[in-house]
Amino acid sequence: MHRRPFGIDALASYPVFPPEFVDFLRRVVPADRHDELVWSVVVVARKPEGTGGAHAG
Amino acid sequence: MAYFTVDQARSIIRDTYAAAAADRPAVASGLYAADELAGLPRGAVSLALGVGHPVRHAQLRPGEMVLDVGCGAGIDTLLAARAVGPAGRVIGLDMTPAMVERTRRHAADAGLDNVEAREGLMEALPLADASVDVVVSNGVLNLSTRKSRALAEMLRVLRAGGRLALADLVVTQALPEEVLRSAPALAG
Repeated sequence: MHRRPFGIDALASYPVFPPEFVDFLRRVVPADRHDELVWSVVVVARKPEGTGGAHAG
Repeated sequence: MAYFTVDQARSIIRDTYAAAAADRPAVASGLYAADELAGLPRGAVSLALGVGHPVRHAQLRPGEMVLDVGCGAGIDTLLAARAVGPAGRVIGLDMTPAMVERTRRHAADAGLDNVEAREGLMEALPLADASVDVVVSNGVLNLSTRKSRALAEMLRVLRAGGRLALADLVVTQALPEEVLRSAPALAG
């Protein structure tokens, strides 16, 4: 698994987050979390050999 | 706790992404190398909305069949299509019709004829069992209110020995409830 922190400044670069929502985050999220609000992860996995299709649950 | 019904969530997400517009590659330049972005249609690059680079970690090989779940405007679909070459094939799947059309157009603009853009839900993938070699997904699973179902579907369509490379955001500490109740937080 690969990971890196995502802060409010990073989220602000996404057009799906309006400026007013970014301002809202800065107000309601404690300042000590502004640089590490969430984490981006990349997970790599392999389906075992010799398995059929899974039944969706 | 679910703050939105499945239908509410899908409606918010479709509307948000259909309306998404950007004139600069602010996100893409932080995720992809310059030489990867070179030659890609401007619209695919400027509307890259992922959170990682799953195609890089998927170790794609020529001739492979790839499914990009939640392809958006198609940047990962196009990068995967380059990697698997003319003997391979990539299906870019998205539930937002406007994004499916963008991927279709961007693949054509890029001269990639091994790409198919298809509309569909990650919780009910319109593919046969064991029909793809690799599933990639970038910043999409978090948008599902039925994540286990979506993952089971990705597993179902992978052939035995197939690979999954999935990028997304995770929360290590609880977010304020006002954030969790907000539509932009759901869609973003």
